Amino acid sequence: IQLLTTYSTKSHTRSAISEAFGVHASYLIEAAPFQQRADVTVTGTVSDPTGEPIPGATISLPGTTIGTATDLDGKYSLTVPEGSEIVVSFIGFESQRISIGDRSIINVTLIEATSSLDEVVVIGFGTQKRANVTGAVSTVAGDDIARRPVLNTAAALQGTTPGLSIQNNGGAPGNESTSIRIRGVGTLNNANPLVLIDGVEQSLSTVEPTNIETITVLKDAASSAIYGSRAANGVILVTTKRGAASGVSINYNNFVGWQNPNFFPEPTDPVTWMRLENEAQANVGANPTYSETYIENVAAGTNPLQYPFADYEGGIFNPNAFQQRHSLSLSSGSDAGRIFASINYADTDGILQNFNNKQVTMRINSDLYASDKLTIKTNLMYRNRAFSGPGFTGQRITQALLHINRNIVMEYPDGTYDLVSGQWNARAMVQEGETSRISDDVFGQLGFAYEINDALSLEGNVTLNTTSTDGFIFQNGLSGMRNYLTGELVNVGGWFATSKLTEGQENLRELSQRLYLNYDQTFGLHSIQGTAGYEEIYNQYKEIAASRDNFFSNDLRDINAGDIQNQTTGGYSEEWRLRSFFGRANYSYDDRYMFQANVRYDGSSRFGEGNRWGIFPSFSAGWRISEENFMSTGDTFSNLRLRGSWGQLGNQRIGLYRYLNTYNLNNGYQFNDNLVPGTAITRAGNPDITWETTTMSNIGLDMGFLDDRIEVIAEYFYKYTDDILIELPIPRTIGYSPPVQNAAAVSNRGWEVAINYNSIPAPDNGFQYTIGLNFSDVVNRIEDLKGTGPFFPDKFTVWTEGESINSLRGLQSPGIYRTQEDLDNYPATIFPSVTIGDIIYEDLNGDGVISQSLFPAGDQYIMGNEDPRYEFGVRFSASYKGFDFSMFWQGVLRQQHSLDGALMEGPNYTNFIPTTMAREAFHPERNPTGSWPMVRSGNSANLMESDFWLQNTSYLRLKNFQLGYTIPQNVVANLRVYISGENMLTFTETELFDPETPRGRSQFFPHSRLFSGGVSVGF
Amino acid sequence: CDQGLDLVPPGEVSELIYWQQEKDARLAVNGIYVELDGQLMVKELDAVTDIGFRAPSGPGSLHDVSMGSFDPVNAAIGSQWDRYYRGVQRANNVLTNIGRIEQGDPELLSRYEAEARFLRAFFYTQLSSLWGDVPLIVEPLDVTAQVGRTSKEDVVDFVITELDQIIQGNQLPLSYSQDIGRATMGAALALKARVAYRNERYAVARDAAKAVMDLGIYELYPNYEELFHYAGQNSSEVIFDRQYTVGGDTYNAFSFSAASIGGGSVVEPIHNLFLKYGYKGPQNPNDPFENIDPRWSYTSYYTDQPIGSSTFNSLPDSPTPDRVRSTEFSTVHGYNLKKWVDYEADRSNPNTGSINMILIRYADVLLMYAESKIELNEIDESVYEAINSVRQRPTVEMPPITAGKTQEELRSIIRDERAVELAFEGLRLFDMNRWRIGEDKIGTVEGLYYLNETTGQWETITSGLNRNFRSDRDYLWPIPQNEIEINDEITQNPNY
Repeated sequence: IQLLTTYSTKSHTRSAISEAFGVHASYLIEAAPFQQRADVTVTGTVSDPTGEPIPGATISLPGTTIGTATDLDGKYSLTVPEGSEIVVSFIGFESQRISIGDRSIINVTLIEATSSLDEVVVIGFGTQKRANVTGAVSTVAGDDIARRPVLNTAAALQGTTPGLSIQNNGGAPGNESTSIRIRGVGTLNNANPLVLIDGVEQSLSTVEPTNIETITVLKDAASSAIYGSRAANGVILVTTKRGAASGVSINYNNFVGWQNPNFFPEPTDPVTWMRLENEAQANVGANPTYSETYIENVAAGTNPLQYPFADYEGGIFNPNAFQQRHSLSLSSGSDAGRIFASINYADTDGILQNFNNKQVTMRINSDLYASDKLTIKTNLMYRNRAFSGPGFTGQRITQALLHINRNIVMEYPDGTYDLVSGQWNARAMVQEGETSRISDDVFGQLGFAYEINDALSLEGNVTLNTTSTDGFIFQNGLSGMRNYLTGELVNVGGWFATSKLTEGQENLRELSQRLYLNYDQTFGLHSIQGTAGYEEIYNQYKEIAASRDNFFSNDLRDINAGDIQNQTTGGYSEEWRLRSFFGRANYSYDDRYMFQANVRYDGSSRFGEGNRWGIFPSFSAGWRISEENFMSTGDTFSNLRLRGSWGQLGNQRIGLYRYLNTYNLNNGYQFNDNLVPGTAITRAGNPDITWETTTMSNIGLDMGFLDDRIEVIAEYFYKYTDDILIELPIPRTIGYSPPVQNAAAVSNRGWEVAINYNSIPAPDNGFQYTIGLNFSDVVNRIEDLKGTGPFFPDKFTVWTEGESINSLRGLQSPGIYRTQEDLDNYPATIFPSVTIGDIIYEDLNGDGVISQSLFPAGDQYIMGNEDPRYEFGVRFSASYKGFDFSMFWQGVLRQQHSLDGALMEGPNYTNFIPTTMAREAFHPERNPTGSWPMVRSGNSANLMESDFWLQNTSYLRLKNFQLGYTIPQNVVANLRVYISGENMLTFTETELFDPETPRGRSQFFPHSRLFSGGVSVGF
Repeated sequence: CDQGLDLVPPGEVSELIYWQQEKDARLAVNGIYVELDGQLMVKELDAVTDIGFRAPSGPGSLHDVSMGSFDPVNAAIGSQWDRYYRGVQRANNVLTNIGRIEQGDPELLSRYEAEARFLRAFFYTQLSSLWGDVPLIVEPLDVTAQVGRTSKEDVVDFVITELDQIIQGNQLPLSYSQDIGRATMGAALALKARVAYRNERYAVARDAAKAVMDLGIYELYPNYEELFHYAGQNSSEVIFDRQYTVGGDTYNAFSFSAASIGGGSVVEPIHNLFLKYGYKGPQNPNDPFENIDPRWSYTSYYTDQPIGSSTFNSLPDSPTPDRVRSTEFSTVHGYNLKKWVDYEADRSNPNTGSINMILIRYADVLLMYAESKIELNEIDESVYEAINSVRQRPTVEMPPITAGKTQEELRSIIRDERAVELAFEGLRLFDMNRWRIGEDKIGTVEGLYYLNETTGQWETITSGLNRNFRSDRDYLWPIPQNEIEINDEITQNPNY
């Protein structure tokens, strides 16, 4: 009997049973040569490794309803087509897939299933049995990522792991912006976690979801200290797939989908819109903007060129934007080595017109067994991304939609436009010009693993990772355009005044090498492991840009076709190097007590001599209480383990060369139209700067019940980041930008709980299900700013001691002035013109005026923060016969955002009018109960940052659902079809923007939802 | 272990190897010019006075200053403070280190030194005019240094002493053949006149202004409108300016002006300015703009003036984008700024506007001379001559001021003359402060004067916005709050 074992690091969220039944889209399936076959009867006995027969084990033919179960003596008999493949399974044992070949008697020995505690978890520079992991580590199986019909790995990770917070900020196709935070924001600088793909820092977006074997999230200091100065914000380890141990399998899957805007603010109807604009004028005693004739004509749709009302949404959105992905992979292995090869293609249209992204990724991961001791590993990845769009960003186009008056002709029959202020027209912006960004990513890794003896092995690799990007933005000039109706020249200003081409090239090249020695030996009940190694990273970045304008025509888009008079060039380059030594030691006794220590010694070119080297240690311990004798009597816990860790991490992502005082050469001036070079010291250097240090403690409790069918993992952590580099303000009279200093401290404390439940496996592909729940919370607090502050990094945010990094400042408002009495009660106003219908602001400092600085100097207070609190994810998956169903809910129980800009400006500045405003705008007669301020042309008194505009953005969202069916057939090994939806259902209070929006301006590439369907086939 | 970790920036120069050659001084001096006043202090500053209006935008802009509702955290004020002190730091850096250069033409090095001194004097002139007592820093400081305020008198003394040194040492040339735009002898004299005049040291101002006139190299540019176009750049009326050029520093040429040419109406002239213009002929009751001082039509767009390829129309029933308050970009009160707009030159690419911003020009010197003499009660022929030469510029040709006026009459005449001649050149605020007439801007902002067809009356367009001015406070700007918080030695101006 040939046993096929597949290397798999299962996530604790995944049901071993459902996998055994082939419910998951399997990527590795034994190729079964197919021919029209006669039926044969196979008999045999199923027993456990001790030879005891197993009654009730199921023997089935995958993809069919053919199946049986063993009798009390473990015997079975089943009639199947000749040459087919049967699956033998039983609760608590690893299922086996067996090719019957020409045999008629097949005895099967089932091996007890490894519990999730025996899973192997990928950790820094090695792997470890889950049972021995003492840090806070979560894993996600590649299959769970691959199943989601999304193109971005980061988006697929959302909600999978407690403590991992992923915010989808939307974005143009291929340029989606997601912010990833592990256990809160620990620094005032770059808080992105370290993402390592096959050990090398890369963006999560560079790895195809279908190529992922497993993802490990290292959350505490113990697990991530081996990455030292880069690990303070947590580490995400992505391991890509490798070839099968033997055999050949080919897998193809695809999906096609249709995207639509999600939560884009709904505009009110044109008539209400125009009436509200007129009201805004009337309220300041001005003439109405729209005559009754105009309104009637718009309502009737008569003569739209004379009475235009632009439908920008219709003019720029691309309904049912198409998306498709195809991926084909091959996995194979033999005594000589193994190989995994794949090619992926994805093509996505934007939900705004003319945006598109195509990407092709090829990967070959190979292992060559040069001898029984030496394996040569080669990983090669090439990716090409081609983004295209109009001459403006989606953000700019959305800004135009939200800000520009609509009484213009969006587009005339001859393709010309009306332009507001000579340049604004969302339709023209989405139609004109061209943007393209073509990137080539190449990743090449050559490595080896050499087994010196049973205990010692040496591993190492050299990696080159490069990205080069060609950027191209051509903005069309529209000068010379004539008005369609009058034939007069149109005044064209701003960006449409002249054509302009900006081209840029960016090159990132990172060369890294690492070498490490592993030791692994067991002496009786004592088990010892150790790792010692060296790593070096050299990173170079260079960009160069050039532009010309006033092109011969809009169609000649070569830079040489532009005018040399206003050409510009520019460039920038930088480099950094990190040199590190690291080590780890593990000791465990009887799988009951385990200890681990890590240390990393990092040297970075970012700091001056004497401050360059940092040492980052960590210690952790675990106690598997359930293995103790005193526990063995009770049956409550199948597993009970207590873990604890402490360690220190560094953050080196703080900008380069900040320790030097330098003359900046970019301070040129011009005399008599001639450029002259100039220099200045613009920023004071600080030779004393050094690492930011994060100290983190973690306590974890793992519990398993009912043979681990219920798993509970709970963690509590406290993370304190000290020596945060911050530009502590210096007197402005000194005349430099302030130097960075190691001065601030931030803490994050929080807890995480993950609970997983697997139903009792049902025989004959009966109904079974899995539920996974995770829940977490982090409280962020700025502990120390050396007595300085508050600082205002942007117009909303305030950094002050004792408050969250994401604190919001604003005025306090009890509501709007509705009566003269209100005016008497709140006499202090922001402008003298404030009157009934405007927002009341509290005069917190009682000085008789409303001023926009923080109390007590002014009347702003800290009105809250934008930290998401109580984040959760719920996964449910079930299968019955050939059907499978899964859904994934994700949400935040407490979250608030502040509204900003266009959505609250409305007709005051001839901006976009959302239905909410049309419904809520206060008017003493028309709408005396309205909750929004009165519209008043030009009035800005209500646009101040205040708690009046705070929106509750807590939400519950059906992030994904999927319904699949595995078609019974015997042509190929596996055939599954499915339909799926992303973001199809959301429960939230706000109706003005997507609750995942970073800030309420809605002025970015809109969020989308996706409906898709797909097929996966295994050969 | 450290090998390879010593990486220095590829595009910057360490201070350890700077100050060796003449070029180092030249480049560092060029770097000071970067911090000179630009559009904001020239075009936009008048919008906080009684003759202009700054469009509303986010908090902390000059709009708040314009409305009189500003405080020490106002970002626009803070950024000017920062910029002047950056300029001071750059100048101090040159003056402290230039002596370290051993090789180089001593004459050239002396000129560089004088340029740095002149620019520092310029920054302190502005600092003391806007904030009163300010820290007087004359050498590069450590980042931890805290410096208190020096009395305005002493700062002014310092500026005058510095300028005198440059002038007496004859360190600056009268003009440049190549590097037009660098500080000259005339600029040093004119700046001395300005700082003295602003501080009511009229005798010093008179003499310095006279010295500029006696240089004999400056004259009024015949075409008032073109003086603020490309044609007028580097003309013999310009004494000192902030230079721009395509490929170097540029700005959006129309952004401050009318919506129909792609502008955002950032700054607009108002009724109060219109009222200051006299008439060169009989007034027409049906057309208030007929026979008006031509400088009004060179300064403002008003209804029926040509603009671009069409006609400006901001009336409430206008079909154009210039209709008052019709969009975020249109004028709020009906006028748009025309001065500094060279439509024909910039229409093809308004994004690369590069008309130099004039900081000191000869007409200002003539009017400073005249006013100083008036204030000193030395009213003679030269006073009338100075005023009338400005009024009778070929493209202006206003009737001359006739002799025999009293000091009080002349004082009133010269004040209006300065307002109409120098509108939107960043000087009105300093004049109002010196004349203590800040309250003149209080009240509802009024704009375009037009015949309301419905009422049959001549009316002004208003937006209902009321402006405030606190005479116990607003003659000086507040020291920026962040300076107050960090610098223990500094104190705030009264009543902020």
